Amino acid sequence: MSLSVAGVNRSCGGVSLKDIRLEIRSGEYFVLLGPTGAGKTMLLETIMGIRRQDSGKIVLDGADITDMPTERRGIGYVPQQSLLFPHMSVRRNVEFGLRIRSAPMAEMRARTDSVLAELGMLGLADRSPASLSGGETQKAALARAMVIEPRIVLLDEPLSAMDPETRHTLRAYLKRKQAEAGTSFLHVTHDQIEAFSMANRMALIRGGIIMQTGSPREIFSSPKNEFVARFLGYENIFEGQQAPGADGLISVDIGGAVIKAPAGSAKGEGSRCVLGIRADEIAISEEPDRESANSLKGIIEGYAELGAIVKVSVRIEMGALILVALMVNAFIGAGLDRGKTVWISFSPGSVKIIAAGSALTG
Amino acid sequence: MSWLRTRSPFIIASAALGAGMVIFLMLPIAASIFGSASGIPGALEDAGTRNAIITSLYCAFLATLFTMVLGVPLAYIFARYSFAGKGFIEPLIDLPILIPHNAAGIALLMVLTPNSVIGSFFDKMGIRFVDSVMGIVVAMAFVSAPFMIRSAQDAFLSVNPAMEHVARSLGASELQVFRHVSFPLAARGVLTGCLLTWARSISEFGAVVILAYYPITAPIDLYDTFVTEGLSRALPINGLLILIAVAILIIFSRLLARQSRFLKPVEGRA
Repeated sequence: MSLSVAGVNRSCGGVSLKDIRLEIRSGEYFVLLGPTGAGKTMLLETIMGIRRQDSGKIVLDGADITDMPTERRGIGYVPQQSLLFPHMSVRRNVEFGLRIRSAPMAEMRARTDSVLAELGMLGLADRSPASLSGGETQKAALARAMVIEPRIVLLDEPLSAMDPETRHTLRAYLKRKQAEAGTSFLHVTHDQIEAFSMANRMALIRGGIIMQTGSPREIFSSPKNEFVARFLGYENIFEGQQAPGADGLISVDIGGAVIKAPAGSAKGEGSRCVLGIRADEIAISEEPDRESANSLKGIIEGYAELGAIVKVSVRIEMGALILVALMVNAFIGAGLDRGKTVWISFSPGSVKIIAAGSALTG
Repeated sequence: MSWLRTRSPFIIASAALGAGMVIFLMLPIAASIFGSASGIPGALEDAGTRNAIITSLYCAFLATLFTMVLGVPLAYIFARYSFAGKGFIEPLIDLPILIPHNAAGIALLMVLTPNSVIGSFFDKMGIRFVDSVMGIVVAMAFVSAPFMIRSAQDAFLSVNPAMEHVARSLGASELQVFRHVSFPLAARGVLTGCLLTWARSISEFGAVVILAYYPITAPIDLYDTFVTEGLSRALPINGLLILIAVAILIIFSRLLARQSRFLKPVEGRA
């Protein structure tokens, strides 16, 4: 089943959706990634029919469902906090949709048992929601949504309240279940790892606007604007002057320091551009790397230890501050410290020209 | 004494003031019961008193039913929807609590007397409110409806609307969501509203005495006896009514406790 959201606008309180256009293909695991307050949940609620859009159209498998009541849309929904009905046992929760449809008792029993067994929840069928762990509760909520064989499943940050181990297990289950059932899933999250590990395709949303849509690889390798780049971990973003160079490279002057990037990555007619470099794609050493097209001298201004990773701030000679991510062992092994003169190097392929013109928003 | 040593002066002062309040509330009640204990069986044998008590219990039950049928849907609408005029209508619901109850009785009399438009309409259908069971029920319902509406409204507000959205996504219509999710989850609050409405209705005097002096209810019987036969004759009836109130309180507490257990879902039952 495919879902098409065509030019949906909605304004409510401080959050609004602006000209949302999404195409979720049949059998696709689609992830909507964005920070808190981006309008992700509002979009899901609009697709479900809980909120009414100000304008635009929602089409599910060729049928216009824009004005259809929620209960007739056939959309499965797994909310963030699972929201199991507390006055019903797990079994009664899962059966709920089938009871509403007046399914025959034997069929209801068989389908409920089947979906609970798949999730390893059959033994907990007669327990109350209050007695379940976070992971079990979310599995029950998923079973409740899946048992009605929905046309599409909407998942609103379904793993955000889980411990890492349960989250990992449920991620695998969701992917497997989606592939087996062939049902389209629209999964909303603010977690990049979750998004990139699960999506066939994905979209980034910010302030109610879809910023970029594509496969995880496309988005990761070619962020369309500064927000997407920053959100995906491009911590070094600079505005510069691009100029043709030799050996299939272009030169970008960022306030005196020249950075080489692939010629094919050049954007726009003009000479101004915005480029991004991921902190974990930059190496640091005490000697210049003669073989690297990008080798810049600088002084360590500071560093922050973040568990296994250390983020080192290096002020290069021409004034720009570049962030370098190192494994903590490499940082200690290299004897790096504040005030030390170092060389940073990175390949031209690590440099992404994000946009033409002066698009930095600070 | 060890309790005093381990507590702060604030807690000790609070406990002392609280004890004063308990004494203030309990002393007259205890005095009424013990001061009239010997006469209570006699009061119970009196057919007039017995009938008055039965009339009060019966009419309070009907008033509770009436306020539940009209009040619970209103509470749900108040809890879930915003609409033009809500800000004006909602505070008016509490008005019957604020106005003197005999004033409420007069207001009802104005509307329901056979000479009025509404009164004459019902009169043609054979329904009379002045000096009738129907009048007692209406008077009781009028003054106690806010308890039902507010209790139910609070109960519906405590139900997460997102839970109702989930039920809608599973195919339930708005009526089915109300029936299977919202109402069962709000049932404790609605039951509390029923119990408060019933209890408040039983004790209603001011509005009932104006609209429907007859058939005589328990509070009117007590007032009647006190005015016509004096304190000594009224005391046993007074003690009896207080004993009934204590019994109702105990039953209500048990019912609410049982309902709490009922609402707590079964655990580990295979």
